[in-house]
Amino acid sequence: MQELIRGIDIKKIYKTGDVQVEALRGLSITLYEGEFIVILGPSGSGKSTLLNILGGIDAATSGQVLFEGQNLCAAPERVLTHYRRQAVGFVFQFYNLMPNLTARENIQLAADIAAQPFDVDAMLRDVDMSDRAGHFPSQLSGGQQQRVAIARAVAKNPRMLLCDEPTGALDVQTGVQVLRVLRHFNRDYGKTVAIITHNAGIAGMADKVFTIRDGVIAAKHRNAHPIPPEEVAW
Amino acid sequence: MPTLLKKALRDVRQRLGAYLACAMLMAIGVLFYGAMTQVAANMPVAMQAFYSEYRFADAFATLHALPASRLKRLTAVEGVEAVSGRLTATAKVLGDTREDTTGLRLISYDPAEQNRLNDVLITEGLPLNAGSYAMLLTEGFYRANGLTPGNTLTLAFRGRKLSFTVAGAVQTPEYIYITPEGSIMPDNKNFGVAYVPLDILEGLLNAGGARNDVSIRFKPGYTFRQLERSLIDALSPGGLTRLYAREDQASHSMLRLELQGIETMVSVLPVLFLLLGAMVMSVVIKRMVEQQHAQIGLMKAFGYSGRAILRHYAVYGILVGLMASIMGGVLGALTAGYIADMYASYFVMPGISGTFSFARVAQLSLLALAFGAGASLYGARGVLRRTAAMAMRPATPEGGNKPILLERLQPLWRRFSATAKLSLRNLFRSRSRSLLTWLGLSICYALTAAVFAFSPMIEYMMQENFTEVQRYDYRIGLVNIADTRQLEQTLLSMRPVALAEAIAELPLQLRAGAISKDTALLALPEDATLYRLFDDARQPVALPRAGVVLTYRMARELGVAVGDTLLLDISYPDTEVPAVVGALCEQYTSSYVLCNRSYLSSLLHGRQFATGAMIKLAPHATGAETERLAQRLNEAENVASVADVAQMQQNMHELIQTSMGTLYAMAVMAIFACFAIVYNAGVVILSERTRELASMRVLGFTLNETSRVVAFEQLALIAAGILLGLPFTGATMEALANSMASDTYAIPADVPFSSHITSVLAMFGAWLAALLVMRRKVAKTKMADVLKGQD
Repeated sequence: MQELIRGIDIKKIYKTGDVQVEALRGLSITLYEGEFIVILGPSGSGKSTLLNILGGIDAATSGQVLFEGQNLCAAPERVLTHYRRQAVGFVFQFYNLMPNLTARENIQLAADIAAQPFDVDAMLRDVDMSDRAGHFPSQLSGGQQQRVAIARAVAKNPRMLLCDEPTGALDVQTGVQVLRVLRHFNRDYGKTVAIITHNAGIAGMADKVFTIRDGVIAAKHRNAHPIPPEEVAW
Repeated sequence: MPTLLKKALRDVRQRLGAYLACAMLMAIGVLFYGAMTQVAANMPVAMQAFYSEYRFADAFATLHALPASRLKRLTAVEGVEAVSGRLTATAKVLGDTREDTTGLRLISYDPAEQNRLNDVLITEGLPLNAGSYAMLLTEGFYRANGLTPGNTLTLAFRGRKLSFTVAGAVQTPEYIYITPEGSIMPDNKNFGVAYVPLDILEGLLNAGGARNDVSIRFKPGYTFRQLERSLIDALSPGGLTRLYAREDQASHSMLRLELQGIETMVSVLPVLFLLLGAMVMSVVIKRMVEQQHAQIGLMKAFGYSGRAILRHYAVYGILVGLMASIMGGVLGALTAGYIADMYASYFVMPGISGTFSFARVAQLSLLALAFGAGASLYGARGVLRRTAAMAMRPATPEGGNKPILLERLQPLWRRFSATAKLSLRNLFRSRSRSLLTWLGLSICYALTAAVFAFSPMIEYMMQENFTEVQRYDYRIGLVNIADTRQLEQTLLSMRPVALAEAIAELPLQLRAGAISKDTALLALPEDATLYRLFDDARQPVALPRAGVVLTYRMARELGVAVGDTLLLDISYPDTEVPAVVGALCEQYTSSYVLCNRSYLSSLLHGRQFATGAMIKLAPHATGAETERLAQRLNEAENVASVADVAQMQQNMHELIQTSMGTLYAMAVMAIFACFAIVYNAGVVILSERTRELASMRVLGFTLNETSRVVAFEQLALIAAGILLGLPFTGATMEALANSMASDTYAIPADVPFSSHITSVLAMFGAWLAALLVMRRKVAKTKMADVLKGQD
């Protein structure tokens, strides 16, 4: 597999007044093209911080994040914007859809700025939302909103999907639906998918699982036989 | 400190920019009130005190010559308390250059007279002594010409050169506001009033004990209308040319008009700015209440009543009102003196002071607090309607998910980008916020355009008057009437006069039914080229062969139209004749009743005469020739006054420039108001959209692309504000022009295109400035933090 992004000795320190919190303490990680990765860890372990730094929406205090030979930690905002636009698709726990745009328009919004976007209607079909294309977020359930959010992230045709607790706000059934969609994009579109979660059951789906504790990778293992979403234990 | 107050203070600190913008809008209101109220309050008091202490007359008469014996008999007229007889004449001051046309109105002053009416207050120098060639000058003229006691002024008076020593400066209730003949603004440099000892003027005029100017004071309870008839009877033997009440006295009527203007400004402008601030405040509070829905739900769950929570949000408005009071109060205190000085330069009387009144500002501060609290209560009123559980959930957008109007126009809607759709939906779905912002912006646009229209409007008025209406270079007034043909021939014989047209100007009373009006009649040659008339569409109006031409305003006041008949009471010679209204015209700087000379002679039974003339110089007249002509006119025995149009125009221009400071200050306030509204609209949009904008940044939108969403929404509001502002501007100008129009002048209500352009630029400037602030805020937004949580 080809290397996609590599984080080397990433440190992140949050300062609030005199208080310093070390969220990441020299963490190193490499993601490869087409992998399905799950990053596990308890609350406050630093997994969201890691995802934000890998996604270019937060800056590391020190260390390097290398993408196509460029260190994102030293890159100016213009480069980071281009990186987020072309290479990364984010999926959040609370969807973050535009309330004033319909499902279709939300996806269109992302497709409009990408260099080689996927067809918006194809995306809607992929997430099984074609019949809800004209609905506004407030007219959709949580699971439906999350599927639109995933379709929006994929529509840009990014190299990787970074998902922060994508099923955290959903029940089992809708959670499974969402995982199925993520798996579909990983398998059928070849997108790298990285999910952070504290639900250890999801780890069964992954090709590779990282466990983070106190800002460092405490464990790493490869699944020889990833399970389908339907078999995930909640 | 109560916990909720702590919360309020911290919330205000967090959004200090938005609350400060509201407070500054309100502060402009407090500032206006603070700076103007003291002037507004003490000017009428100062005026009354001055009138009373220096015995300002109730009625004034100009005559040919009233013998002293007749003057004494006037005191026997029932209702008359006191009478003062004076001599008046005009003279020209011979200046450093020979073409100077500085005029002085000479008024006799009897040092021995006790309790004289229209007395003078000597502010510098010494009183006059009988028999001395000395004069006391009105303060404006004295100061503008840098005079000191002991200076000498050389006058051209009826063909003689006379030297007078300056004794000092005076203020008098009769000349609080002085304007030269044919002008609407004071020209202290070139025109003033000089008091000279009675015996000296008596000798110069060979008056032999007679008086040509009489002032009358009434006993308490008597009015001009009651005494008019008996006064006319008593004064007629002296060749009465004009009798008028205090209300028609030039200085008093200008002062009254100004007081009325200040009164309007003090009562309307502060409330307007408080209202604008309150409108913006209610939008900000509404948004905050929406954002704090979970906190409100929690407070309700704890047991706080809806009213208690509402009271809590009212505190925000009170805090803003308090900030406005402090800022406005301090700025008002700093500017009150400047405002008072400005008025004191126009209105020369003792007692105009800009002492800052904390008591008065406290009154408006209370109003600011009430507006602030009211705006908060209005913005937060939704709190009462929602239960604790409802409040915990985010509020549904006002318009729900119904398609907005533009969406029905699918071909157009499809052309918009997703970001434009986002802005448009937000705009239409936050109806009450958009409407309030729209209204606020349109008011600001109207204010800015009106302020910027003022200067070009006055310039236009002057331009029209001095180039289109009055096409002459000099206008002279005669001491004694002359034959028209002879006068014109004499003037034409002087180099470099190219054209001379004799005119007759007479005091006149117009009567239409029960309404009467004192004015002046100006008779022009039938084919006059040096004075032209225009209608309200700026089309030339021909002087009718028979009948008179009135101004639109005068016709309105008298309730007459073209074709109606009026009664003309011409004082000299005493004639009362009917006349038809032949046409109407617009006059910006005068309110003459006009007719042609032959019509006037037919009214006066064939009598032909001129009281003055208009002179046009040859196009290639040299400076030396012009100077010689001015000198000859100034020294001519029968020439009472010489008005140099170019000089008048220049003086007027300079005066307008000096008053620009106030206009610029008002323009700055109006532009700031635009900025405050646009900025706060942006703050609200930003707070509503932080999550959306952060999502866009995460999706890969650049900072500019993201800021464009806010920019587009604000731009749409500004464009709509400008559109609504156009009719508002027209209405504002109409109201301004009406409130400022007087018998002396009318102000055109047209708004020049340039003012609209300036106002549009100001709005866009405010938009750009607000946008830069917004862009910085978007850039500072921490995407990860915003998107992590739930709304």
